[in-house]
Amino acid sequence: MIIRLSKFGNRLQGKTAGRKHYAKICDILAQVRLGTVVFLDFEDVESVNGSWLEMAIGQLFRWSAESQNDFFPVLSHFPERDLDELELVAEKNQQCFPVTANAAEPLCSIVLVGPLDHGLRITLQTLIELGKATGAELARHMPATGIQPTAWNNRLKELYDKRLLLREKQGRRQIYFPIAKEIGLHGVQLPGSSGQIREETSGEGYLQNAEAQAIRAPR
Amino acid sequence: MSKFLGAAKTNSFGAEFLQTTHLSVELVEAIQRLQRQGKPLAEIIGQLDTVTLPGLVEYCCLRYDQPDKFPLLPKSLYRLPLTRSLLEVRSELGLRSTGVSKAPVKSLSTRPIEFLLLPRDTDLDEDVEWGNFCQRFERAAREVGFSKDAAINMHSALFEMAENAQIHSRSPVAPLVGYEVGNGMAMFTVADVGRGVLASLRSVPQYASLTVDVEAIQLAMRNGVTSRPDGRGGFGFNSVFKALAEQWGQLRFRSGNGCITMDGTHLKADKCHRQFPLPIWGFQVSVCCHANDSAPLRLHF
Repeated sequence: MIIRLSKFGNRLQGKTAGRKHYAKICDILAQVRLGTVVFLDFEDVESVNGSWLEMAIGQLFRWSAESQNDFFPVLSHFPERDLDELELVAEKNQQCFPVTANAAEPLCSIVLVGPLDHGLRITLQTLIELGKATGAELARHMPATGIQPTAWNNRLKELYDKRLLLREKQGRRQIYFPIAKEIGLHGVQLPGSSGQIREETSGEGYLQNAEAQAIRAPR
Repeated sequence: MSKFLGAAKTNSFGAEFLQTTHLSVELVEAIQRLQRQGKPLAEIIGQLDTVTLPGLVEYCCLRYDQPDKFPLLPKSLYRLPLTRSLLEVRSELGLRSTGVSKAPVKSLSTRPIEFLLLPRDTDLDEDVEWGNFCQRFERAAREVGFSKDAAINMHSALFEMAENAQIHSRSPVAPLVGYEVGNGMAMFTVADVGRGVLASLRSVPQYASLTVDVEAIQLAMRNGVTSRPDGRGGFGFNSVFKALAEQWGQLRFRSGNGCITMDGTHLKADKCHRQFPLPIWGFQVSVCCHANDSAPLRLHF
């Protein structure tokens, strides 16, 4: 499912507008099937600022994780010039926004904008390696860590609540898998890095690295 | 040059006297001090022959609260483009509070100077007149050499500061917005005479212990700080800093007896210049950016 945000205007700014647009997006998504990946498409949006993002996108991600809604928002064609605004909102709210170049399923490659603590990164990376897993399987796969299945399950649940993992139920087991095959952290997505999470170390911003093509969408 | 710099001097007796005919923010502060000391102001005001946008607006804010203590600006000033433009607006924060209201400007043709009252009953994102005003500002900035991105940043900064005033100020009269563009420079001022930044932040328990205006301004400049009870928002100043950082900008925030000034080289809220002028109602924001570093570096405030 794709929601084209340019219908709200090519300048998405201000908290009042953000609040209204959030309500309109919720209306659109009221009937969405549980577990659906929803692309919030910024194509043709010239600029977007933190106030709007906080009110519209920040709230939408929280709303999406509520059990009665349960969909998976992904930002596509996000304006490169405003990634710093997205990062600010992510840091304040401790959210992690998946950003992709192409609004199409299956979702191949995303970049995560926002903080993700060490434990969650390890969990996500391991899950990408395995494709899909339960908490017990992660514990068996990484015995050296000494982390118990319950702790792995908690991490998986936290990543799921952040809308970075999908899950399916098999009997009493919850099997988790990442929303995309390739995931870059902090904007660095190396070509052919399937199964890897790479972390930016330059501190120069998300798209300084020439390899960060994942967000630079052909328009 | 002394016209722009020499707002107030101190003589050997320690008393202030004024040597300037230029109404800048520095002079407005000096006029406030003189008024506090009981000095006559009519002569000083009477000899003014030029104004800056922030100086004009801050003086009007002063007069709103104490019209009997601060003289009217002389009619001779009304020939200036800035004052002529402000005269178009009927507002208690402007130069006239009676007569006909300014007719809405529908055209997007650019103007070098313009003032507008923020709507009181309409959200900014739905107000066509405000939208056109912002568009004209952005277009005018582009015409004097600003890149598209820089003009968008300034538009966004203007929008955010205006929305802040509309939402948080609780101003008894509509906040006043003005811009001036020309000569590789674009500047805007957003002014209200509401409760001010300190009272606004103190309205939420988290910041109830704040007591100093200048600290409240500094705090408000940090991302994520807001007086909204739900804690959401507080990103508006980032738009201002972006415009400032990339465009050799200058900034002035004045509220209560606090004043923060910054320029494009010191972008952290804890590295700004703090001043403690005499109190003024509300919150006055002035932002000035240059299209390039060769633009004439006058003191626009």
